[in-house]
Amino acid sequence: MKVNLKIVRSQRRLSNLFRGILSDNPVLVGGMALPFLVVPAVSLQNGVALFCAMLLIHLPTVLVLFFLRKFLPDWSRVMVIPVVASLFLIVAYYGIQPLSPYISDSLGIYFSLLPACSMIFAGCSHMLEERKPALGKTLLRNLCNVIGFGLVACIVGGIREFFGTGTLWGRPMGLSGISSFQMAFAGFLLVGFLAVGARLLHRLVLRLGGGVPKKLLKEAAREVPKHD
Amino acid sequence: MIDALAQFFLVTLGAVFLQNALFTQGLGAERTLIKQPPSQVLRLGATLTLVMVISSILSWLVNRLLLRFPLARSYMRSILFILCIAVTYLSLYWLSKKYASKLLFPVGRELIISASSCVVLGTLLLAAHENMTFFNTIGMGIGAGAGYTMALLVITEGRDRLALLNVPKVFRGLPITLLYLGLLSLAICGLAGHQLPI
Repeated sequence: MKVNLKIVRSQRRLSNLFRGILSDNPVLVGGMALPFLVVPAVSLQNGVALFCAMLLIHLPTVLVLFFLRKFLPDWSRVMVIPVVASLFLIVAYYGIQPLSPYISDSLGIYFSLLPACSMIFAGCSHMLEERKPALGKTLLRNLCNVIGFGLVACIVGGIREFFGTGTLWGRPMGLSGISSFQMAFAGFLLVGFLAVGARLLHRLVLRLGGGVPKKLLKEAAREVPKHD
Repeated sequence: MIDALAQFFLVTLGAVFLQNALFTQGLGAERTLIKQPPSQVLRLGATLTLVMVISSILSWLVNRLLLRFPLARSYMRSILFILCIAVTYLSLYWLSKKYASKLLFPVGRELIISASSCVVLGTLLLAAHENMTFFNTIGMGIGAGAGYTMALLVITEGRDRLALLNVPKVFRGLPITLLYLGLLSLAICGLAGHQLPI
């Protein structure tokens, strides 16, 4: 079957825009930002707080570095990224306060550790290495990565809180928890099994759709250009 | 004097085993996913320990100054500690450029990885959180660097052995490494004397 590659490429371009949320998830596929899921993500509230804090730090950092990129020598990037990110820590601190007055204590040193997150490094480095980065695409790609991270943080936090303390968002669920779920090793094991689940889901999607919808393939086959 | 020395060794050994940066705090876990030979791990560990010790000295001084201003919040500490790491990185970068030919091994790449790793910042924040003395802070830095290097070597060896086994396809790579990390973390938890509360 001959396929019109233009239609397939435009469909792939559309799906590539939202990479980072499910496919190419920065945590479950890239293995980034693991410390924040292993230790502080022990409740759903902490998971949501981590997502909000990451959003308030990551995107403004990318935005500032986008405009400063022409003035930064290569050797200085490794330190400018966390310094710029740490300036937005103040914004993130006040941004997560509405969740709970004790939320920053609950996150501990990991809140202050966010500027050194590998996901922020990777996102900013990727943008700085591009010859002509587009602001919209860069922000969308990083937003998808943060949403993907937030999704995993909420799932991990929710599962650990539910099975660890028998509550969800502080509300009792009628289950006596196993407090081993709150320890670091449980975080590693849970993220490992979630990574397996993400792979299985990806394989299922590929097997069902093959990456390109069948309807699109049929339409493409009908529009094959004629060459003389 | 002897008490201070005993405290120093206790803190150092504690940072290597019981409060290991990787197994108990999860810091620097991303580095375990990259395939690297043991020689490279040792070079990275040596550079990271050096960055950690120098940054510990600077951060202790900064923390002492911050204690005089009670209104300074935890985020101010983080910003200033990152600046301490930046100063350490720039100094070592300049020194390595100037004396590159006389160095035991090239430190360029390892220096970048060490300075950008959350292990360094995490250790400094932990030491400040526990209000450690000057020598204990340096001991924490040495112990955390040595403990992280040891952990990386164990993980590297474990990954090489796992590669020889018939691991199911969905578990290969990231998932099996995380499961291996989790089991080692459980072992360290037992070594520290924690009992699994069920």
